[in-house]
Amino acid sequence: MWKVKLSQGRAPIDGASRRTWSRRILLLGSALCVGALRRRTPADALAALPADTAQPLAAGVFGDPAALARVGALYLAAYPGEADAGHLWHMVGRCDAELAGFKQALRQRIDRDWRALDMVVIEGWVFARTEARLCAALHLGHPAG
Amino acid sequence: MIQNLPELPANSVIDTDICVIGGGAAGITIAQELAGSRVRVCVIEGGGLAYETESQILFDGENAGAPIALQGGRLRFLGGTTNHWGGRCALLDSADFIARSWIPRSGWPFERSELEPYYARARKVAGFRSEWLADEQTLAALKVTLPALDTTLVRPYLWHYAPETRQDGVWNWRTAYRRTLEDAANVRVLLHANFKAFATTADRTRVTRLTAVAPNGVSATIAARNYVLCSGGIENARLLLLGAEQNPGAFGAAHDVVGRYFMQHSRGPAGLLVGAERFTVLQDQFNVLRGPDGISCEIGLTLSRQVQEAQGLLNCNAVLQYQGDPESGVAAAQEAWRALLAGRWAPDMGSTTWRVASDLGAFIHGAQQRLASGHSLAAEGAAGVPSRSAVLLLDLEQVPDPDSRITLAAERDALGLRRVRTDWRLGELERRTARVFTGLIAAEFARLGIGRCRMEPWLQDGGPPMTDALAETYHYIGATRMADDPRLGVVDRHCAVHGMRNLYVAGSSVFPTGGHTNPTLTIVALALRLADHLR
Repeated sequence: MWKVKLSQGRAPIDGASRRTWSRRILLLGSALCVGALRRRTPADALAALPADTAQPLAAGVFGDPAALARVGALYLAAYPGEADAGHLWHMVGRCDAELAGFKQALRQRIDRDWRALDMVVIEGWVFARTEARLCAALHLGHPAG
Repeated sequence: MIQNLPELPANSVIDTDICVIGGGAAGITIAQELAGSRVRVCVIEGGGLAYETESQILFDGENAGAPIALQGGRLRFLGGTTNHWGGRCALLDSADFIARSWIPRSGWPFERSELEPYYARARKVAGFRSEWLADEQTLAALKVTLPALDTTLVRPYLWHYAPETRQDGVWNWRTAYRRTLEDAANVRVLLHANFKAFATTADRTRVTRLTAVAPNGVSATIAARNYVLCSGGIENARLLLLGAEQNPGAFGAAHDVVGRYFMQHSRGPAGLLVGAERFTVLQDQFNVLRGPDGISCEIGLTLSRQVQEAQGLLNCNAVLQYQGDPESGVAAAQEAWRALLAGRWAPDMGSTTWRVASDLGAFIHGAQQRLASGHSLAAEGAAGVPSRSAVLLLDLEQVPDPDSRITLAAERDALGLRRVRTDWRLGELERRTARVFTGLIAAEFARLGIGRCRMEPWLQDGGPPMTDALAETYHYIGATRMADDPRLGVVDRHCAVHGMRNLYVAGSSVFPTGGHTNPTLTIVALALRLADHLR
């Protein structure tokens, strides 16, 4: 069954309302239209994800891109061998340049992780492995186009 | 009849068939079951008809291990600990009766089928007027459709609550059976009658007399054919240890098992479940819900047997404790209503009214739920209040550990008897079980889009000790455990103390495996079985 690797970190991740999050997604999502996948900041990389793909991860629980990137940093601290942005994006399904394909692959991987109980615990929060890897990719900020 | 020992003539001798030591759930069940029969029963109860400090203080003792609320967890007056019973009932799982290779000394000497007929009778003794429906039928009656959990990992678990009585609230054995005990010609209940000493035959295999003493020094001798200890999960072991001290080698002392394997269901918050939206649907699924027959049921979760077996884990359960959203219309209405009950207006009545009005749908639904579950609008608690978060509260089975034990302290009580000393110990398997169970619930709730879970620090590596996080349930189990082999247990499958021909034990102290659920119904089932055996 699942193995847990914990990372030590700072205070709990702040919450944010779903409305705030949706607005943020909407604003940042505009970057998607101009090929933002090549941007280098966590927020922009997150914005590059389709909103309805990112929402299950954020879902009003995890406050903002910076918090998600911090989750990524903690994940990489626990799994330093995965600190390769290209590899991480590949692992989360971003091997296909087609966004629709990426969205579907990401969903499938997260669902598969939950079913396989491939989880990690970071600051107490339970993540699907792919979610944590996505956060790590966001932290590194080198989304592969 | 019910009498007060202090009012009897000094040095009275009471000749009876069965002497029941303790007037709680087990003792009263046996007495009421035999009421009206040809079997004479004498129940000695240390307390009176209500709480008395002078009597309760006799429960004092020492904690050497994890804290045990020797005073708060037990009650020493007629009805015993059922006087603060919550009424939560369930059967032990069938699998709890089977030995598990990954848990040494687990299992019972018989399967659950042995207890099934007694469980059916126990439900009536606990106040249920009708049979329980199967879980699926219960859910249908409650109009609950549960989310599509992967039941190979976690599965729903149901409790039934004993009915409340109009005058006394939750069902308790004192008020339910006092009249029966008073009216029965073959039953005598002696109040303020505390155990003082056992006397035995020369070969120490048979109890011949029990001396009971009142706080004012009046004593009586009870000469019975059979004696049944019904004094609670801790006191049963203490009385056997005292008996062995007075009669070396007897009272189960031959193999040094008495008092060992002391267990309890430990309870603690395992995580915080947070949703993006209010848990509108979840609160109508995993909660305490009142059925059309007026009986409340609670729906929680338990760890599947497949996972227990695959990972070598204990049994356990979880319920959700919702944290009412203070911004909700129900919470606003509560504030306003409480203020009105206190004879004033809420501080900002306009804003409060607006919060109710703008959340009218949730308010109507929540208020209906709240009233249906028997909570007034003003009462504390989150019932019916829309919530965005919930605490995941776990109850854990405990490993039978010979070093987790009850012994006698050096200090003596007001009757001159050595007080109890508890050394309650929890092990790593309890923590590992809690961690895996919480992780599986987190995964399932995330997969189903219900919410996300944050584990409590005690479940994380390097976190605080679990004894800091876990609380007692007052379910004291195992210290006079049942086993066919006298080297592994204090009583045999008939609840008779090994090596003694007329001494029995009733109560959760005989459970060799405690499972995860509330023990009262099993205590009552075993007491009924013993009553049949002694009849």
